[in-house]
Amino acid sequence: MNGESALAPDAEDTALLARIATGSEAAMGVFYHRHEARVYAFVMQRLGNAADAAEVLNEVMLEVWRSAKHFAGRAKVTTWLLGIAHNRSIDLLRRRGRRAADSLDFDVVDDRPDPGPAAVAHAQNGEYIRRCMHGLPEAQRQVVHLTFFEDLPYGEIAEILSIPEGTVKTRMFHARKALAQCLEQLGARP
Amino acid sequence: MPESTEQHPRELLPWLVNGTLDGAEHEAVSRHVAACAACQAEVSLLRAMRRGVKAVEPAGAGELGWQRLRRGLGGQVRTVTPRWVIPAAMAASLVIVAQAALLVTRAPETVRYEPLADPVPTEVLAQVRFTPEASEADLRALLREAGVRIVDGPSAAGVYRLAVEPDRDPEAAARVLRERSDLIPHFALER
Repeated sequence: MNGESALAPDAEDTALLARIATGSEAAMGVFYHRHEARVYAFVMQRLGNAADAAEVLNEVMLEVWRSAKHFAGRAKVTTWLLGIAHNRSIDLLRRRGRRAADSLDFDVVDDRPDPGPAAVAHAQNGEYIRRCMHGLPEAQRQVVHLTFFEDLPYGEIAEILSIPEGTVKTRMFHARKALAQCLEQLGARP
Repeated sequence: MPESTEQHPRELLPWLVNGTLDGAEHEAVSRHVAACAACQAEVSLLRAMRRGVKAVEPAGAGELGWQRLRRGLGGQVRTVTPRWVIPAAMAASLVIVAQAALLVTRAPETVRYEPLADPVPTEVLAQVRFTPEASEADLRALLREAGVRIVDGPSAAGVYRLAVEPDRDPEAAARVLRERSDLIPHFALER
């Protein structure tokens, strides 16, 4: 066991927050190392550069340090944490004078052609995926990230982003369509 | 979401793929997909996208990020100073003062530092982090090939800012840097 806890991940996180609330720097260190990559990856989707992502990561963890005593357990710890990260990202964009862009959430019209085999093959190319993700609107990129990197249910994604569940599905729909088109086009280039 | 699954469940397929649909939804969507060729193709695409997304996500800020946070916590680890440290520190201070006195009483030597390069170019191109395994020689060769130089950093998170030389093409420079993800795992154009 190497001294690891047998608690479920969320129970471990809740226990850590309880210790952080008492001022335990050691618990904060464990919490930080458990979640920093997750928070960093999430805010990178919104902010697009490493320095800003590192800045927001620091702010998020400082808020965890200050607010741990207020965590009520109504949501999973990761949902609470990524919700803070979402809000801090918007704060930073506003400070920088950049609009916290939201996706235009059109009604879903299912007029897509079936994905071609090229899109499937190219989706596994990391460089292609990176380029195509970069081309998505920020709000759609966040939903793709939370769905496929974090493997979160749409209800939790809605909670983190403070949007209706239907909007999560709509953003994912448009993102998936744009990604498939981008992957097809990249593969067609010589 | 019974109304969605009774119609066409395409909008739920991403969550079928990531395995987070609840029992009833999962059962309804899976049943539909088993009889829907277009949905099966869609699921294949979404699975490939998921693998691709997981493969390219960046790492975090690492130990440097923790050290930065720790400074901000305001609760630095308090250690008890052993009694012998205080006189030892005083003695060390005296040595430093004596050495400084020797230095200032010597005849000053004229030391001229020449700049290693032209003034720093102004067009900042990107923010990057280098892999810890990269050697100085590797980085030097890459920066020269791309026509960029370091103008800022490292930040607490190990981020450097690179500027492109005035006579070089920024897009070509970015392409060269991006191709070396073995040395630069994190690359972001400045906006």
